[in-house]
Amino acid sequence: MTEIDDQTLERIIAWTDGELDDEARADFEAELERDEALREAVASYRATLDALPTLNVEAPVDFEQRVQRRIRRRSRGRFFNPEAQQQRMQAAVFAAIAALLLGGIALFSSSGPIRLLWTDEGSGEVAPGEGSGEDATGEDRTAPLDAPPADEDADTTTGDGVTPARLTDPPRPDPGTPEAGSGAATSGLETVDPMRVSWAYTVQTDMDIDALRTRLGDEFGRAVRIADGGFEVVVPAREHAETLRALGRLGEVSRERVERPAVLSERVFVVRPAP
Amino acid sequence: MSAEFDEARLVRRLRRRDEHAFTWLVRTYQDRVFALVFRMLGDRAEAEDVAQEVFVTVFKRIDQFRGDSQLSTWIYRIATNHTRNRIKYLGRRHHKRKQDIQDTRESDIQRPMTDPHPRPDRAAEGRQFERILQRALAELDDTWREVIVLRDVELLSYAEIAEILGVAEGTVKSRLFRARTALQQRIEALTDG
Repeated sequence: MTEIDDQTLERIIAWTDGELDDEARADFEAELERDEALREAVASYRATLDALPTLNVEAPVDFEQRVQRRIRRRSRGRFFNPEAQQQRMQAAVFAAIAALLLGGIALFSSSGPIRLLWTDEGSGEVAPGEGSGEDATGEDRTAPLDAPPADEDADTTTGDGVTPARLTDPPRPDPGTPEAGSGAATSGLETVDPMRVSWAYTVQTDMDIDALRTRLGDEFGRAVRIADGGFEVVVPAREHAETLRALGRLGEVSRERVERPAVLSERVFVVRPAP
Repeated sequence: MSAEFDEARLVRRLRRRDEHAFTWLVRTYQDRVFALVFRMLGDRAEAEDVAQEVFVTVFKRIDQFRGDSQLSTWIYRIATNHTRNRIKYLGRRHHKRKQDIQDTRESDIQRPMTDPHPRPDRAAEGRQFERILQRALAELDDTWREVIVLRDVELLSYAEIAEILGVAEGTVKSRLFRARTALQQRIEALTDG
């Protein structure tokens, strides 16, 4: 192999990377034409560069299963465990039935319509501008593998967004909301009209309506529906925090407390284009 | 990235600890992560262990992914950090590294598809050159080997490498220049020797 001095090698590398200016490149290529040793050196350098990608190796065939086993072990069987998955599904079905039964009993035993005591405050999510930046703080918000994921409020609920304990909790004072029902409490449940205390989120964006439709369609697919003056994004309750973050990238998010009839397992976000 | 898993959707699903999405991620990145770690560590068993840890970390810490860079860059960064830590750890234990580099199995190497049936003499020459290349790479300083592997083996852009290593693009270029120079000189020495 030809001996290459540092200066020549520097020029070869710069030429190979296309980093010589026009004049320097022309000079180098002219020299390349007449200097056989330089041609050999370039060929040798290129052979090295060409060969390097072939040094890639493949992971072992059972790599994926080994990763899954490791996660299963560290999470004490919570993830990548078919049995646990089946148990979770059974538990979710059981909890849903129990919630329905409880709701039914409460309806029959109360003198008026019932409000289930659920507010967004309990789900752990924070509105943009209040520290919800997913990792802007650099803080490790990830729970250990044996604990539920931080943003999966569904894991602490019956599956429909209702925390079971709340069904028997005393009502929390809500100064921001009009007292919608001052009827007598029955069985620990507030007997008010069927309105849910909740946050109404509105996103005001600079995008025009067509661009907004495309963007929301790409991001949320069938969860988007046309609403008065804009769109509504309807997502499962457990996706509340992520949806807030995603919408926060489109424009300013504002929120206000409202009482309205709503499906407990869903969250609705109103997105409006620039006027 | 497939239509099923565009990056934003994939990240959302990973944050929900969606096992199907995570399995897809492992299948997509396992070879790249393993190759990077193996080339850096030079020890197959250690590389397998570290590469698995990389994916466990991705699963655990996906909430920390800000989306400022590509997901692949973030994964490479985790892989690089894990590898550096392992190198330090093994160094403290005076572990004999790089013993597997020369023992890379023939079946492990991804060969270009252009010449599936090379002439036996050329194939032998090629294997000989690969062995020299592997040895030269293994003998490089860790910092130089890292940048060569990311750029010339993994074919990442300067910007991506800068992001992964947490240095300026200019630093990547100068480091790469020194690394390639050292590699070339090492190859020449091994060839002549």
